[in-house]
Amino acid sequence: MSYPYELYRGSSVGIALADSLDALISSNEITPQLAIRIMERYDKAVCDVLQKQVKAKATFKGRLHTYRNCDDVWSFYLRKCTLKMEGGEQVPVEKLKIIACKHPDAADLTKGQKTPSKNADKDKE
Amino acid sequence: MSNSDGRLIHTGLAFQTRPQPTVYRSIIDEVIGSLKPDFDEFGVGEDVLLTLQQKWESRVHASRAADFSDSQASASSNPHAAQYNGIGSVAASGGVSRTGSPNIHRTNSPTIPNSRGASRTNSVGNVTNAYTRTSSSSFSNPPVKAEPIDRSLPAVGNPPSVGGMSRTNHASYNPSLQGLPSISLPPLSNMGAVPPLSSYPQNMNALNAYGANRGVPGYGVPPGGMTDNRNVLMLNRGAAPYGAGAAGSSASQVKMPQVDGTWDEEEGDEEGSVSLRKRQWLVQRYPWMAEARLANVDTSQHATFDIIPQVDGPSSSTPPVPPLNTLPPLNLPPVSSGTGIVRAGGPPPLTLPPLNLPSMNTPPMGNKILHPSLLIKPPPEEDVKPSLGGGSNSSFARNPNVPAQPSEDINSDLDDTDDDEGPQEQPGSDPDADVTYCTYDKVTRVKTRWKVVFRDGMVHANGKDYLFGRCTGEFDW
Repeated sequence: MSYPYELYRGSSVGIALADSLDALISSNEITPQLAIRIMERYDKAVCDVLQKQVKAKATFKGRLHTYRNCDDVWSFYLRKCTLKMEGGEQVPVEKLKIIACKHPDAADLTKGQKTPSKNADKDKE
Repeated sequence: MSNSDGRLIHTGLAFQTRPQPTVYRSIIDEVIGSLKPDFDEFGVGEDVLLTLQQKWESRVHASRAADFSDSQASASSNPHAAQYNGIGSVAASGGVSRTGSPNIHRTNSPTIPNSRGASRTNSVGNVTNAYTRTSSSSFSNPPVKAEPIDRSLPAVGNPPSVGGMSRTNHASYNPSLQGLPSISLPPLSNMGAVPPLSSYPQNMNALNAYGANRGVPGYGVPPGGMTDNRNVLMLNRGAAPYGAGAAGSSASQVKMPQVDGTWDEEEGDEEGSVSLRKRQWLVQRYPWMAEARLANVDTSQHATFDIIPQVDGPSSSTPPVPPLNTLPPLNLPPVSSGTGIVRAGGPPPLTLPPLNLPSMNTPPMGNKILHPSLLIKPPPEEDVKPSLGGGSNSSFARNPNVPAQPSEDINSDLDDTDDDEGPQEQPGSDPDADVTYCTYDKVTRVKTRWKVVFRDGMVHANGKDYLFGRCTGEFDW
């Protein structure tokens, strides 16, 4: 299933593409409309490739500083967390922001679960 | 392995287990491969497509988020990567192997992008030169200045496990893919030197023909139309906000709406506020996104909008308007209705009533529709009185000979920004914070214990990218 989110435009490869398109637009080699089309192609491609080719597993552990859920988009702000990759590689991260859109196969836990209400925004001081 | 700071020291094994280069290569290939119809539709040549691919790859390399040094080996084992080995290896492996530069990916020297850009430029130029040059020059005297050798790399003569080092021990580069023309490279006399790429025109010509036959984008391009305006930009990761773009979506594709939530670096609980801030950033960074969006808007939708006059005076950008009683009388026929609201096609006659109307109640609106409230509701008394600096700053009552003063009627105490409390730290406002983009399967909480299941994630942490297909998280709030 394809879910062409625009989420991954903020990744390294997405920013690299956007900057490249920006340079081409500045030199009048492509139009902004074509650049938009290219970004849409990128949205689809990155989702497909991630689904098909990336099978690695990872684990996050850390202290949750702030969480937020709005329009099925979760935002987590972690402090002093550790990303443990499948091969045993551990990556300590001081501050980490996680932006997560809803997966098409995600279970709907809005009913009967102890999940925070929508638009919950909590800051822990 | 960890150092004294507890940070992980990447070992060779750790690098080999990271799949970013292959995945990024696949993303680039898939996007570039799918763009041919779009470029044809927009009437853009394939040389621009090749330029885009080169710029994209250069920037991905320059970001150093992924280590492409081991992608050469994976490219040979990956059928997809091998399919585009001819052109795809320009970034993943070919750029290294063609130039022979041993320190393209691993060094922190600022010459990396330049050396890479130069080599890529030369490789592109090779394609062009392949049509003009008839004989290849010898490699006996490399004219290119030798690059500094990265001290962090193994010695030159070490076994070639990294990048283009393999070319040291091989006189020719023979990709494993059958049918791909071999690239015969002259032997390197100095690993620190970049060989003259003018010695490869036949190879590039053969590659070009091969790629054109297989339909690989970017091959078979006429030499005259090829441009390479690369300028490798070193992206400062901290300077680039990690926001998913909201602009750029069109109605042509069915998408799951991503209305909000990916832009949380600023305060904005309201949906419109977040979206607005996101668009503002995108417009600021990529103005073409806004231009394209505006161009797609049907302008006829705006044709029916009535223009509501600004009743509280002109903005600071407009010149001050003198009161009508200071204007010379207009020689216009009297209007029977006296309302001043007459507009129906044709050249707009000036139907402002002559000066028999209450002068202060009628702002000059030109040929725009006058709002009835202007004729009914008189302005406050203090606004009517012309002031000479010390009184009201209302633009209606301002003497035209007095320069416009910044009005404090609006920017008053009501607009206090509560700066007394000092700047508040917003979540995610730290540009140096690392970021993860992913999708979630499950998010549960028991008291302050959170358990999440993520999928399809791209993590950028400590300057490196990590990818995962599935991730579980346990957080304590």
